[in-house]
Amino acid sequence: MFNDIIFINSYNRISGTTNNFQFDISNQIRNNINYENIVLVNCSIPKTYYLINETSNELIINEQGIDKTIYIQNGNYSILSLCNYLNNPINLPGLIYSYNFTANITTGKISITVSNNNSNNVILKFTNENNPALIIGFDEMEYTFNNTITSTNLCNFELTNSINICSNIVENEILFNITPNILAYNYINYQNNQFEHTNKKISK
Amino acid sequence: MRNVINIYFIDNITQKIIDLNGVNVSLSICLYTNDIKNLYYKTKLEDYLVQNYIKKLELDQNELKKNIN
Repeated sequence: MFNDIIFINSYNRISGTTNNFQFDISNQIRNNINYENIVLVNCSIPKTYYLINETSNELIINEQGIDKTIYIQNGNYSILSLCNYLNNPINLPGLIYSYNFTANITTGKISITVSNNNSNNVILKFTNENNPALIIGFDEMEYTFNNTITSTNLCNFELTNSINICSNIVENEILFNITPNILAYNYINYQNNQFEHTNKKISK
Repeated sequence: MRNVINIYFIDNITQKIIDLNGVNVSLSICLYTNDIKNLYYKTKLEDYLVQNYIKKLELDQNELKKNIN
């Protein structure tokens, strides 16, 4: 039985970014060996991704039949800081009516109150691909209201609860799955002690 | 076996690549061959199949000889 440990650091990548990169392993493997299986030994992944990012930064509000897209600045927020951000009119350009976002710390939900709308309906649309519905406690659907609406679910400011480590060297591309159970800006460190249950076939 | 491999990280909820904002990651992986036990049985099986095939060929040959005679 032959085995070789390959050490990978994205700093030494040959192309790509730290999120998605190509790495040359030729100087760490032996020629003429038919490796058939692969297993993750350990990993250290920085929890430096943002809560609000390209996948969740577009809030669509429909006023008088017209969709207005609010772009939330990418970054990490608490329930209070996100409400503060959305209560700043500078961050809601193009809207006709006035909005007040309120965080209820006891229930963990957000309420949105619209005013100056002459009782006209407003539609909160969470049907676009990059909606923040799951973060601010709504389902991915449309909500019509003309006064106050409260999120149906709890807000979730730790949305990413599992990360797939993927590689084209693995059959079906998923090498391992880890849970980021630490605070932002720390490293998610994992040492695998169950090789026999977590090994994968190498893709040919 | 490829010499250059691709590594990326997917958020299981959004199924999109996670943006680590330029901070580097490190990981170690182990590549290994099938174990010797499997190799032993695989060789044994191949040997058995080849022997069977030779036996069948001999039988066919005998049958053929009989028919010619």
